[in-house]
Amino acid sequence: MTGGIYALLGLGISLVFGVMRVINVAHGEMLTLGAYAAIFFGKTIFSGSIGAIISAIIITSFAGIIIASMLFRPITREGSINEQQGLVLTLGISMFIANAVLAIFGPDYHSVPGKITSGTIYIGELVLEGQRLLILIASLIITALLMFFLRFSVNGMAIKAVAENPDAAMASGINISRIHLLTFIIGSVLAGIAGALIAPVTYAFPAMGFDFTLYAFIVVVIGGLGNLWGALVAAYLYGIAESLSVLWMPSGYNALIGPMLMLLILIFRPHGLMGRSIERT
Amino acid sequence: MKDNEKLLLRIMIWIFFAILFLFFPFFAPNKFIVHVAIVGLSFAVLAASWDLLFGYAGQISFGHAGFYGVGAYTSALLAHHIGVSPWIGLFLGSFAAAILGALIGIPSLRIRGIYLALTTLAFAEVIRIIATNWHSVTRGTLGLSAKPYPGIEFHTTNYYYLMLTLSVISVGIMFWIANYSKVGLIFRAIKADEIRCQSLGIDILRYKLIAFAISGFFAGLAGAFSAHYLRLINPGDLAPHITIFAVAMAVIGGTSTIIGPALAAIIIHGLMEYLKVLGAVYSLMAVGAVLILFVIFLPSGIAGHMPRKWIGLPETK
Repeated sequence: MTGGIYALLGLGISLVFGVMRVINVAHGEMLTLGAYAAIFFGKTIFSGSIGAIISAIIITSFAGIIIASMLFRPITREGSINEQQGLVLTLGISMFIANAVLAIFGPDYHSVPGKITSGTIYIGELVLEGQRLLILIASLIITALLMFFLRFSVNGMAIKAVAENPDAAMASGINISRIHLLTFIIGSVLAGIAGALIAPVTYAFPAMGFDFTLYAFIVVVIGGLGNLWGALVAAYLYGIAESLSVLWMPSGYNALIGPMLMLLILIFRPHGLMGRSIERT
Repeated sequence: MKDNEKLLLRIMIWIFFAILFLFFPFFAPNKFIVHVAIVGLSFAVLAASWDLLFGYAGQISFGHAGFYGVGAYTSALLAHHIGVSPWIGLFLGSFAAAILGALIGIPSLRIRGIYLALTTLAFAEVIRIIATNWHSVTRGTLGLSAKPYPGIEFHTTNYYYLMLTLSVISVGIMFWIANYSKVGLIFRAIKADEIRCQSLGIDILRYKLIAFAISGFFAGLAGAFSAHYLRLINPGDLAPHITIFAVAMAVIGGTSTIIGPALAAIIIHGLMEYLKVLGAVYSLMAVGAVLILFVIFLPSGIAGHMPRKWIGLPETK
Protein backbone atom coordinates (compact mmCIF):
# COMPACT_ATOMS: atom_id res chain seq x y z
CA MET A 1 0.00 0.00 0.00
CA THR A 2 2.62 2.51 1.06
CA GLY A 3 4.71 1.25 -1.84
CA GLY A 4 1.99 2.34 -4.26
CA ILE A 5 1.85 5.83 -2.78
CA TYR A 6 5.63 6.12 -2.86
CA ALA A 7 5.59 4.96 -6.46
CA LEU A 8 3.15 7.69 -7.51
CA LEU A 9 5.19 10.34 -5.69
CA GLY A 10 8.54 9.00 -6.79
CA LEU A 11 7.49 8.84 -10.45
CA GLY A 12 6.38 12.49 -10.28
CA ILE A 13 9.60 13.71 -8.69
CA SER A 14 11.73 11.63 -11.01
CA LEU A 15 9.85 12.79 -14.11
CA VAL A 16 10.04 16.46 -13.12
CA PHE A 17 13.72 16.13 -12.31
CA GLY A 18 14.48 14.28 -15.53
CA VAL A 19 12.83 16.88 -17.72
CA MET A 20 13.16 20.15 -15.84
CA ARG A 21 16.28 19.40 -13.76
CA VAL A 22 14.49 20.74 -10.71
CA ILE A 23 14.31 19.00 -7.36
CA ASN A 24 10.74 19.68 -6.46
CA VAL A 25 10.68 20.14 -2.70
CA ALA A 26 7.02 21.17 -2.98
CA HIS A 27 6.02 17.78 -4.35
CA GLY A 28 4.58 16.60 -1.04
CA GLU A 29 2.49 19.75 -0.84
CA MET A 30 0.77 18.67 -4.05
CA LEU A 31 -0.23 15.53 -2.17
CA THR A 32 -1.58 17.76 0.61
CA LEU A 33 -3.52 19.77 -1.96
CA GLY A 34 -4.95 16.61 -3.47
CA ALA A 35 -5.96 15.26 -0.07
CA TYR A 36 -7.66 18.50 0.94
CA ALA A 37 -9.37 18.89 -2.42
CA ALA A 38 -10.76 15.40 -1.90
CA ILE A 39 -11.94 16.35 1.58
CA PHE A 40 -13.46 19.66 0.60
CA PHE A 41 -15.25 18.58 -2.56
CA GLY A 42 -15.96 15.13 -1.23
CA LYS A 43 -17.93 16.71 1.59
CA THR A 44 -19.69 19.39 -0.42
CA ILE A 45 -20.24 19.22 -4.17
CA PHE A 46 -19.39 15.70 -5.25
CA SER A 47 -20.46 13.57 -2.37
CA GLY A 48 -18.92 10.45 -3.89
CA SER A 49 -15.39 9.20 -3.58
CA ILE A 50 -14.83 9.07 -7.35
CA GLY A 51 -15.82 12.74 -7.36
CA ALA A 52 -13.26 13.38 -4.63
CA ILE A 53 -10.48 11.89 -6.75
CA ILE A 54 -11.60 13.82 -9.83
CA SER A 55 -11.65 17.07 -7.88
CA ALA A 56 -8.17 16.31 -6.56
CA ILE A 57 -6.99 15.85 -10.14
CA ILE A 58 -8.59 19.13 -11.23
CA ILE A 59 -7.22 21.14 -8.32
CA THR A 60 -3.67 19.81 -8.55
CA SER A 61 -3.48 20.18 -12.32
CA PHE A 62 -4.66 23.74 -11.88
CA ALA A 63 -1.97 24.35 -9.25
CA GLY A 64 0.55 22.69 -11.55
CA ILE A 65 -0.38 25.02 -14.41
CA ILE A 66 -0.06 28.08 -12.20
CA ILE A 67 3.30 27.02 -10.75
CA ALA A 68 4.85 25.93 -14.03
CA SER A 69 3.64 28.84 -16.16
CA MET A 70 3.85 31.68 -13.67
CA LEU A 71 6.74 30.71 -11.39
CA PHE A 72 9.04 28.42 -13.36
CA ARG A 73 8.77 30.17 -16.72
CA PRO A 74 10.38 33.46 -15.58
CA ILE A 75 13.48 31.64 -14.30
CA THR A 76 13.80 29.39 -17.36
CA ARG A 77 16.62 30.49 -19.61
CA GLU A 78 16.96 28.86 -23.01
CA GLY A 79 15.06 25.81 -21.90
CA SER A 80 16.95 25.14 -18.70
CA ILE A 81 16.45 26.11 -15.11
CA ASN A 82 19.24 26.92 -12.71
CA GLU A 83 19.45 23.98 -10.30
CA GLN A 84 19.79 25.98 -7.12
CA GLN A 85 17.29 28.65 -8.11
CA GLY A 86 14.73 25.96 -8.83
CA LEU A 87 15.42 24.28 -5.49
CA VAL A 88 14.94 27.47 -3.49
CA LEU A 89 11.85 28.38 -5.52
CA THR A 90 10.12 25.11 -4.71
CA LEU A 91 11.12 25.60 -1.08
CA GLY A 92 9.13 28.85 -1.11
CA ILE A 93 6.21 27.17 -2.86
CA SER A 94 6.20 24.39 -0.28
CA MET A 95 6.16 26.88 2.58
CA PHE A 96 3.36 28.87 0.95
CA ILE A 97 1.06 25.94 0.16
CA ALA A 98 1.49 24.20 3.51
CA ASN A 99 0.65 27.35 5.41
CA ALA A 100 -2.14 28.37 3.05
CA VAL A 101 -3.79 24.99 3.67
CA LEU A 102 -3.26 25.52 7.39
CA ALA A 103 -4.86 28.98 7.17
CA ILE A 104 -7.89 27.77 5.25
CA PHE A 105 -8.63 24.43 6.89
CA GLY A 106 -7.08 24.82 10.33
CA PRO A 107 -4.65 22.51 12.09
CA ASP A 108 -7.13 19.68 12.78
CA TYR A 109 -6.82 16.23 11.37
CA HIS A 110 -9.49 15.64 8.74
CA SER A 111 -10.88 12.38 7.56
CA VAL A 112 -12.34 11.85 4.16
CA PRO A 113 -15.96 10.70 4.29
CA GLY A 114 -16.29 8.18 1.53
CA LYS A 115 -13.81 5.39 1.09
CA ILE A 116 -14.24 3.85 -2.30
CA THR A 117 -14.47 0.42 -0.80
CA SER A 118 -14.95 -0.52 2.77
CA GLY A 119 -14.59 -3.71 4.71
CA THR A 120 -11.89 -6.32 4.42
CA ILE A 121 -10.90 -8.83 1.83
CA TYR A 122 -9.54 -12.27 2.56
CA ILE A 123 -7.00 -13.89 0.30
CA GLY A 124 -6.11 -17.19 1.89
CA GLU A 125 -4.74 -16.28 5.32
CA LEU A 126 -4.12 -12.69 4.27
CA VAL A 127 -6.49 -10.04 5.61
CA LEU A 128 -6.53 -6.79 3.66
CA GLU A 129 -8.38 -3.57 4.15
CA GLY A 130 -10.33 -2.75 0.98
CA GLN A 131 -9.03 0.79 0.55
CA ARG A 132 -5.43 -0.30 0.94
CA LEU A 133 -5.81 -2.94 -1.75
CA LEU A 134 -7.47 -0.34 -3.93
CA ILE A 135 -4.54 2.03 -3.50
CA LEU A 136 -2.18 -0.71 -4.63
CA ILE A 137 -4.28 -1.56 -7.70
CA ALA A 138 -4.93 2.07 -8.60
CA SER A 139 -1.26 2.97 -8.36
CA LEU A 140 -0.33 0.01 -10.57
CA ILE A 141 -2.92 1.03 -13.19
CA ILE A 142 -1.83 4.69 -13.13
CA THR A 143 1.82 3.68 -13.41
CA ALA A 144 1.04 1.48 -16.39
CA LEU A 145 -0.93 4.28 -18.04
CA LEU A 146 1.94 6.69 -17.50
CA MET A 147 4.47 4.29 -18.96
CA PHE A 148 2.24 3.69 -22.00
CA PHE A 149 1.79 7.44 -22.42
CA LEU A 150 5.53 8.04 -22.31
CA ARG A 151 6.29 5.23 -24.69
CA PHE A 152 3.61 5.49 -27.34
CA SER A 153 2.10 8.99 -27.46
CA VAL A 154 3.70 11.89 -29.29
CA ASN A 155 3.74 14.11 -26.20
CA GLY A 156 5.14 11.30 -24.09
CA MET A 157 7.97 10.73 -26.52
CA ALA A 158 8.61 14.47 -26.59
CA ILE A 159 8.91 14.42 -22.79
CA LYS A 160 11.46 11.62 -23.01
CA ALA A 161 13.33 13.47 -25.72
CA VAL A 162 13.61 16.60 -23.62
CA ALA A 163 14.82 14.56 -20.66
CA GLU A 164 17.42 12.87 -22.86
CA ASN A 165 18.83 15.97 -24.52
CA PRO A 166 17.09 19.36 -24.31
CA ASP A 167 19.18 20.99 -27.03
CA ALA A 168 18.60 18.28 -29.58
CA ALA A 169 14.91 18.23 -28.67
CA MET A 170 14.68 21.97 -29.20
CA ALA A 171 16.48 21.62 -32.53
CA SER A 172 13.93 19.05 -33.68
CA GLY A 173 11.11 21.49 -33.09
CA ILE A 174 9.85 20.48 -29.69
CA ASN A 175 8.42 23.34 -27.70
CA ILE A 176 10.37 23.01 -24.48
CA SER A 177 8.29 25.30 -22.31
CA ARG A 178 5.15 23.39 -23.29
CA ILE A 179 6.83 20.11 -22.36
CA HIS A 180 7.94 21.59 -19.04
CA LEU A 181 4.36 22.62 -18.37
CA LEU A 182 3.00 19.21 -19.33
CA THR A 183 5.58 17.39 -17.22
CA PHE A 184 4.94 19.50 -14.19
CA ILE A 185 1.18 18.99 -14.50
CA ILE A 186 1.63 15.22 -14.77
CA GLY A 187 3.89 15.21 -11.73
CA SER A 188 1.47 17.33 -9.72
CA VAL A 189 -1.55 15.25 -10.69
CA LEU A 190 0.23 12.02 -9.74
CA ALA A 191 0.92 13.49 -6.30
CA GLY A 192 -2.65 14.79 -6.08
CA ILE A 193 -4.13 11.37 -6.84
CA ALA A 194 -1.82 9.87 -4.22
CA GLY A 195 -3.17 12.43 -1.75
CA ALA A 196 -6.80 11.67 -2.54
CA LEU A 197 -6.14 7.94 -2.25
CA ILE A 198 -4.27 8.04 1.02
CA ALA A 199 -6.40 10.61 2.85
CA PRO A 200 -9.15 8.09 3.76
CA VAL A 201 -6.58 5.77 5.33
CA THR A 202 -4.26 8.09 7.22
CA TYR A 203 -6.24 11.32 7.73
CA ALA A 204 -5.07 14.63 6.34
CA PHE A 205 -3.28 17.46 8.12
CA PRO A 206 -1.60 20.55 6.66
CA ALA A 207 1.99 19.47 7.35
CA MET A 208 1.58 15.97 5.90
CA GLY A 209 3.35 16.97 2.71
CA PHE A 210 6.90 17.29 3.92
CA ASP A 211 7.17 13.75 5.26
CA PHE A 212 5.98 12.42 1.94
CA THR A 213 8.44 14.63 0.09
CA LEU A 214 11.20 13.06 2.14
CA TYR A 215 10.00 9.50 1.51
CA ALA A 216 9.69 10.26 -2.19
CA PHE A 217 13.25 11.59 -2.24
CA ILE A 218 14.47 8.43 -0.56
CA VAL A 219 12.73 6.30 -3.18
CA VAL A 220 13.98 8.43 -6.04
CA VAL A 221 17.53 8.48 -4.74
CA ILE A 222 17.55 4.70 -4.34
CA GLY A 223 16.23 4.29 -7.86
CA GLY A 224 18.42 6.98 -9.38
CA LEU A 225 17.20 10.51 -10.06
CA GLY A 226 15.41 10.75 -13.38
CA ASN A 227 15.19 6.98 -13.74
CA LEU A 228 11.48 6.08 -13.76
CA TRP A 229 11.76 2.29 -13.61
CA GLY A 230 14.34 2.60 -10.86
CA ALA A 231 12.00 4.79 -8.85
CA LEU A 232 9.17 2.33 -9.37
CA VAL A 233 11.12 -0.70 -8.17
CA ALA A 234 12.61 1.25 -5.28
CA ALA A 235 9.18 2.51 -4.20
CA TYR A 236 7.71 -0.97 -3.78
CA LEU A 237 10.87 -2.35 -2.18
CA TYR A 238 11.05 0.52 0.27
CA GLY A 239 7.34 0.28 1.08
CA ILE A 240 7.73 -3.42 1.87
CA ALA A 241 10.96 -2.90 3.82
CA GLU A 242 9.38 -0.18 5.90
CA SER A 243 6.34 -2.29 6.73
CA LEU A 244 8.42 -5.35 7.59
CA SER A 245 10.92 -3.40 9.68
CA VAL A 246 8.30 -3.07 12.44
CA LEU A 247 8.85 -6.76 13.10
CA TRP A 248 12.43 -6.45 14.25
CA MET A 249 12.96 -2.78 15.06
CA PRO A 250 11.37 -0.67 17.78
CA SER A 251 8.73 1.48 16.12
CA GLY A 252 9.92 5.06 15.93
CA TYR A 253 13.43 3.97 15.15
CA ASN A 254 12.19 2.31 11.98
CA ALA A 255 11.81 5.82 10.57
CA LEU A 256 15.61 5.77 10.50
CA ILE A 257 15.71 3.18 7.73
CA GLY A 258 14.83 5.59 4.96
CA PRO A 259 17.27 8.41 5.68
CA MET A 260 20.02 5.93 6.57
CA LEU A 261 19.51 4.01 3.35
CA MET A 262 19.53 7.24 1.37
CA LEU A 263 22.69 8.40 3.11
CA LEU A 264 24.56 5.16 2.49
CA ILE A 265 23.52 4.97 -1.13
CA LEU A 266 24.44 8.59 -1.80
CA ILE A 267 27.84 8.12 -0.17
CA PHE A 268 28.75 4.90 -1.94
CA ARG A 269 26.84 5.30 -5.19
CA PRO A 270 26.33 9.05 -5.61
CA HIS A 271 23.96 8.67 -8.54
CA GLY A 272 21.63 6.15 -6.98
CA LEU A 273 21.57 2.39 -7.09
CA MET A 274 20.38 2.22 -10.66
CA GLY A 275 21.30 5.74 -11.68
CA ARG A 276 23.62 6.51 -14.52
CA SER A 277 26.42 8.96 -13.98
CA ILE A 278 24.81 11.99 -15.59
CA GLU A 279 27.05 14.77 -14.42
CA ARG A 280 30.32 13.30 -15.51
CA THR A 281 29.36 12.95 -19.13
CA MET B 1 27.52 63.13 -5.23
CA LYS B 2 31.20 63.49 -4.80
CA ASP B 3 33.23 60.66 -3.38
CA ASN B 4 33.71 62.42 -0.03
CA GLU B 5 30.00 62.95 0.42
CA LYS B 6 29.34 59.35 -0.46
CA LEU B 7 31.84 58.18 2.10
CA LEU B 8 30.30 60.46 4.73
CA LEU B 9 26.81 59.16 3.99
CA ARG B 10 28.09 55.61 4.21
CA ILE B 11 29.72 56.22 7.58
CA MET B 12 26.57 57.98 8.84
CA ILE B 13 24.43 54.99 7.90
CA TRP B 14 26.79 52.57 9.62
CA ILE B 15 26.86 54.76 12.76
CA PHE B 16 23.08 54.91 12.72
CA PHE B 17 22.87 51.11 12.63
CA ALA B 18 25.55 50.77 15.31
CA ILE B 19 23.64 53.10 17.64
CA LEU B 20 20.37 51.36 16.83
CA PHE B 21 21.79 47.98 17.78
CA LEU B 22 23.80 49.19 20.78
CA PHE B 23 21.03 51.07 22.52
CA PHE B 24 18.12 49.00 21.29
CA PRO B 25 17.02 47.73 24.74
CA PHE B 26 16.75 51.32 26.00
CA PHE B 27 14.29 52.63 23.46
CA ALA B 28 12.46 49.37 22.81
CA PRO B 29 8.90 49.86 24.09
CA ASN B 30 8.77 46.50 25.85
CA LYS B 31 10.68 43.37 26.78
CA PHE B 32 9.04 41.26 24.12
CA ILE B 33 10.55 43.29 21.31
CA VAL B 34 14.00 42.83 22.84
CA HIS B 35 13.28 39.10 22.97
CA VAL B 36 12.38 39.14 19.27
CA ALA B 37 15.63 40.95 18.54
CA ILE B 38 17.65 38.34 20.46
CA VAL B 39 16.14 35.44 18.51
CA GLY B 40 16.59 37.46 15.32
CA LEU B 41 20.28 37.89 16.09
CA SER B 42 20.75 34.17 16.62
CA PHE B 43 19.05 33.50 13.28
CA ALA B 44 21.39 36.08 11.73
CA VAL B 45 24.35 33.89 12.70
CA LEU B 46 22.58 30.81 11.30
CA ALA B 47 21.72 32.49 7.98
CA ALA B 48 25.24 33.89 7.63
CA SER B 49 26.75 30.46 8.28
CA TRP B 50 24.60 28.96 5.53
CA ASP B 51 25.70 31.71 3.18
CA LEU B 52 29.38 31.08 3.93
CA LEU B 53 28.94 27.51 2.77
CA PHE B 54 26.67 28.16 -0.20
CA GLY B 55 27.56 31.65 -1.35
CA TYR B 56 31.33 31.24 -1.03
CA ALA B 57 32.31 27.59 -1.08
CA GLY B 58 29.43 26.69 -3.41
CA GLN B 59 28.31 23.71 -1.30
CA ILE B 60 24.57 23.53 -0.87
CA SER B 61 23.52 22.29 2.55
CA PHE B 62 20.03 21.23 3.53
CA GLY B 63 21.28 20.04 6.87
CA HIS B 64 21.75 23.26 8.75
CA ALA B 65 18.98 22.32 11.15
CA GLY B 66 21.26 19.40 12.06
CA PHE B 67 24.16 21.73 12.95
CA TYR B 68 21.85 24.10 14.81
CA GLY B 69 20.17 21.28 16.73
CA VAL B 70 23.42 19.46 17.53
CA GLY B 71 24.83 22.68 18.98
CA ALA B 72 21.71 23.09 21.07
CA TYR B 73 21.50 19.45 22.20
CA THR B 74 25.19 19.08 23.00
CA SER B 75 25.19 22.09 25.26
CA ALA B 76 21.85 21.27 26.89
CA LEU B 77 22.63 17.58 27.40
CA LEU B 78 26.03 18.32 28.94
CA ALA B 79 24.40 20.78 31.30
CA HIS B 80 21.56 18.38 32.09
CA HIS B 81 23.49 15.16 32.68
CA ILE B 82 26.97 16.24 33.80
CA GLY B 83 26.28 19.79 34.94
CA VAL B 84 28.61 21.55 32.54
CA SER B 85 28.19 25.32 32.68
CA PRO B 86 26.30 26.71 29.67
CA TRP B 87 29.19 29.11 29.10
CA ILE B 88 31.45 26.17 28.36
CA GLY B 89 28.57 24.36 26.66
CA LEU B 90 28.27 27.23 24.22
CA PHE B 91 31.68 26.40 22.83
CA LEU B 92 31.48 22.64 23.24
CA GLY B 93 28.18 22.72 21.34
CA SER B 94 29.74 24.75 18.56
CA PHE B 95 32.71 22.37 18.36
CA ALA B 96 30.41 19.36 18.23
CA ALA B 97 28.55 20.99 15.35
CA ALA B 98 31.86 21.80 13.64
CA ILE B 99 32.97 18.16 13.88
CA LEU B 100 29.61 17.06 12.53
CA GLY B 101 30.03 19.62 9.77
CA ALA B 102 33.39 18.14 8.81
CA LEU B 103 31.85 14.65 8.81
CA ILE B 104 29.05 15.76 6.52
CA GLY B 105 31.65 17.48 4.41
CA ILE B 106 33.52 14.26 3.63
CA PRO B 107 31.03 12.96 1.05
CA SER B 108 31.02 16.39 -0.61
CA LEU B 109 34.18 15.37 -2.42
CA ARG B 110 32.19 12.92 -4.51
CA ILE B 111 28.69 14.32 -4.28
CA ARG B 112 27.72 17.61 -5.82
CA GLY B 113 24.80 19.98 -6.14
CA ILE B 114 21.39 18.48 -5.62
CA TYR B 115 22.79 15.15 -4.43
CA LEU B 116 24.75 16.93 -1.72
CA ALA B 117 21.60 18.80 -0.65
CA LEU B 118 19.80 15.47 -0.30
CA THR B 119 22.72 13.89 1.58
CA THR B 120 22.86 16.70 4.11
CA LEU B 121 19.08 16.59 4.49
CA ALA B 122 19.23 12.85 5.20
CA PHE B 123 22.00 13.44 7.75
CA ALA B 124 19.93 16.02 9.61
CA GLU B 125 16.88 13.75 9.53
CA VAL B 126 18.86 10.83 10.99
CA ILE B 127 19.92 13.04 13.89
CA ARG B 128 16.37 14.30 14.38
CA ILE B 129 14.91 10.79 14.48
CA ILE B 130 17.53 9.68 17.00
CA ALA B 131 16.81 12.72 19.18
CA THR B 132 13.09 11.98 18.98
CA ASN B 133 13.39 8.33 19.97
CA TRP B 134 16.25 8.18 22.45
CA HIS B 135 14.00 8.94 25.40
CA SER B 136 16.41 8.00 28.17
CA VAL B 137 18.86 10.70 27.11
CA THR B 138 16.97 13.39 25.24
CA ARG B 139 13.48 12.89 26.67
CA GLY B 140 12.22 12.72 23.10
CA THR B 141 9.44 15.05 22.03
CA LEU B 142 8.86 16.11 25.64
CA GLY B 143 11.83 18.36 25.17
CA LEU B 144 14.73 19.05 27.46
CA SER B 145 14.88 22.04 29.74
CA ALA B 146 18.19 23.85 29.58
CA LYS B 147 19.74 25.90 32.35
CA PRO B 148 19.97 29.65 31.92
CA TYR B 149 23.42 31.25 31.81
CA PRO B 150 24.70 31.70 35.36
CA GLY B 151 25.16 35.36 36.20
CA ILE B 152 22.65 36.83 33.79
CA GLU B 153 19.58 34.71 34.51
CA PHE B 154 16.19 35.97 33.52
CA HIS B 155 17.48 39.33 32.45
CA THR B 156 16.51 40.04 28.86
CA THR B 157 18.81 43.06 28.43
CA ASN B 158 21.86 41.07 29.49
CA TYR B 159 20.96 38.34 27.03
CA TYR B 160 20.55 40.95 24.35
CA TYR B 161 24.08 42.22 24.83
CA LEU B 162 25.50 38.71 25.06
CA MET B 163 23.85 37.73 21.78
CA LEU B 164 24.75 41.03 20.16
CA THR B 165 28.40 40.49 21.03
CA LEU B 166 28.34 36.88 19.90
CA SER B 167 26.61 37.60 16.63
CA VAL B 168 28.69 40.65 15.75
CA ILE B 169 31.87 38.64 16.40
CA SER B 170 30.58 35.57 14.53
CA VAL B 171 29.27 37.45 11.52
CA GLY B 172 32.42 39.59 11.55
CA ILE B 173 34.68 36.54 11.55
CA MET B 174 32.70 34.86 8.79
CA PHE B 175 32.70 38.08 6.78
CA TRP B 176 36.44 38.42 7.11
CA ILE B 177 37.13 34.77 6.31
CA ALA B 178 34.89 34.85 3.27
CA ASN B 179 35.98 38.14 1.76
CA TYR B 180 39.46 38.97 2.94
CA SER B 181 41.31 35.79 3.87
CA LYS B 182 43.25 33.34 1.75
CA VAL B 183 40.89 30.55 2.77
CA GLY B 184 37.94 32.59 1.52
CA LEU B 185 39.69 33.14 -1.78
CA ILE B 186 40.11 29.40 -2.18
CA PHE B 187 36.45 28.87 -1.25
CA ARG B 188 35.45 31.19 -4.06
CA ALA B 189 37.84 29.49 -6.43
CA ILE B 190 36.32 26.09 -5.60
CA LYS B 191 32.87 27.49 -6.24
CA ALA B 192 33.96 28.93 -9.58
CA ASP B 193 35.76 25.90 -10.99
CA GLU B 194 36.48 22.88 -8.89
CA ILE B 195 38.42 20.89 -11.46
CA ARG B 196 40.70 23.79 -12.30
CA CYS B 197 41.40 24.31 -8.61
CA GLN B 198 42.41 20.71 -8.32
CA SER B 199 44.72 20.99 -11.28
CA LEU B 200 46.38 23.99 -9.64
CA GLY B 201 47.31 21.77 -6.71
CA ILE B 202 44.74 22.91 -4.18
CA ASP B 203 43.65 20.23 -1.74
CA ILE B 204 39.94 20.55 -2.41
CA LEU B 205 38.76 18.10 0.23
CA ARG B 206 40.65 19.95 2.94
CA TYR B 207 39.10 23.30 2.08
CA LYS B 208 35.64 21.85 1.68
CA LEU B 209 35.95 20.31 5.13
CA ILE B 210 37.13 23.64 6.50
CA ALA B 211 34.12 25.36 4.94
CA PHE B 212 31.72 22.80 6.38
CA ALA B 213 33.39 22.94 9.79
CA ILE B 214 33.31 26.75 10.01
CA SER B 215 29.72 26.85 8.85
CA GLY B 216 28.76 24.10 11.30
CA PHE B 217 30.59 25.83 14.13
CA PHE B 218 28.64 29.06 13.81
CA ALA B 219 25.31 27.34 13.17
CA GLY B 220 25.99 25.30 16.32
CA LEU B 221 26.82 28.48 18.21
CA ALA B 222 23.44 29.93 17.28
CA GLY B 223 21.78 26.69 18.40
CA ALA B 224 23.68 26.42 21.69
CA PHE B 225 22.90 30.01 22.56
CA SER B 226 19.20 29.64 21.77
CA ALA B 227 18.93 26.45 23.82
CA HIS B 228 19.97 28.17 27.04
CA TYR B 229 18.22 31.38 26.23
CA LEU B 230 14.84 29.82 25.38
CA ARG B 231 15.60 27.19 28.08
CA LEU B 232 13.69 24.46 26.28
CA ILE B 233 14.76 22.39 23.32
CA ASN B 234 12.94 19.63 21.51
CA PRO B 235 13.53 17.65 18.30
CA GLY B 236 11.71 20.46 16.47
CA ASP B 237 15.01 22.36 16.67
CA LEU B 238 16.42 19.75 14.28
CA ALA B 239 13.47 19.82 11.90
CA PRO B 240 13.80 20.90 8.27
CA HIS B 241 11.92 24.15 8.83
CA ILE B 242 14.99 25.59 10.57
CA THR B 243 16.99 24.85 7.42
CA ILE B 244 14.26 26.30 5.23
CA PHE B 245 14.30 29.44 7.34
CA ALA B 246 18.08 29.79 7.01
CA VAL B 247 17.93 29.28 3.25
CA ALA B 248 15.06 31.73 2.85
CA MET B 249 16.83 34.42 4.87
CA ALA B 250 20.05 33.95 2.94
CA VAL B 251 18.37 34.14 -0.47
CA ILE B 252 16.23 37.15 0.42
CA GLY B 253 19.21 38.94 1.97
CA GLY B 254 21.46 38.15 -0.96
CA THR B 255 23.86 35.21 -1.07
CA SER B 256 27.64 35.65 -1.26
CA THR B 257 27.53 38.70 0.99
CA ILE B 258 27.30 37.30 4.58
CA ILE B 259 26.00 40.70 5.74
CA GLY B 260 22.86 40.47 3.61
CA PRO B 261 21.60 37.18 5.07
CA ALA B 262 22.42 38.33 8.61
CA LEU B 263 20.47 41.59 8.27
CA ALA B 264 17.63 39.90 6.41
CA ALA B 265 17.31 37.33 9.21
CA ILE B 266 16.89 40.07 11.81
CA ILE B 267 14.47 42.14 9.73
CA ILE B 268 12.35 39.24 8.54
CA HIS B 269 12.21 37.57 11.93
CA GLY B 270 11.01 40.91 13.32
CA LEU B 271 8.42 41.30 10.58
CA MET B 272 7.22 37.75 11.11
CA GLU B 273 6.69 38.36 14.80
CA TYR B 274 4.92 41.60 13.96
CA LEU B 275 2.66 39.84 11.46
CA LYS B 276 1.76 37.32 14.13
CA VAL B 277 -0.93 39.81 15.11
CA LEU B 278 -2.71 38.53 12.02
CA GLY B 279 -1.81 34.93 12.79
CA ALA B 280 1.42 32.94 12.67
CA VAL B 281 0.14 31.11 9.61
CA TYR B 282 -0.07 34.25 7.53
CA SER B 283 3.41 35.37 8.45
CA LEU B 284 4.83 32.03 7.26
CA MET B 285 2.75 32.25 4.10
CA ALA B 286 4.11 35.73 3.54
CA VAL B 287 7.70 34.52 3.93
CA GLY B 288 7.04 31.76 1.41
CA ALA B 289 5.56 34.26 -1.04
CA VAL B 290 8.39 36.74 -0.53
CA LEU B 291 10.91 33.95 -1.10
CA ILE B 292 9.21 33.02 -4.39
CA LEU B 293 9.17 36.65 -5.53
CA PHE B 294 12.85 37.11 -4.69
CA VAL B 295 13.92 33.99 -6.56
CA ILE B 296 12.06 35.18 -9.65
CA PHE B 297 12.65 38.91 -9.63
CA LEU B 298 15.70 39.58 -7.45
CA PRO B 299 17.76 36.39 -7.49
CA SER B 300 20.77 38.10 -5.98
CA GLY B 301 18.77 39.39 -3.02
CA ILE B 302 18.69 42.73 -1.26
CA ALA B 303 22.42 43.03 -0.66
CA GLY B 304 23.16 41.89 -4.20
CA HIS B 305 21.59 45.08 -5.51
CA MET B 306 23.47 47.43 -3.22
CA PRO B 307 26.80 48.88 -4.26
CA ARG B 308 29.44 46.42 -3.03
CA LYS B 309 31.44 49.14 -1.31
CA TRP B 310 28.51 50.13 0.85
CA ILE B 311 28.40 46.84 2.62
CA GLY B 312 32.15 46.58 2.91
CA LEU B 313 32.73 44.01 0.19
CA PRO B 314 35.82 44.17 -1.96
CA GLU B 315 35.21 45.28 -5.53
CA THR B 316 35.12 42.49 -8.06
CA LYS B 317 35.10 42.20 -11.82
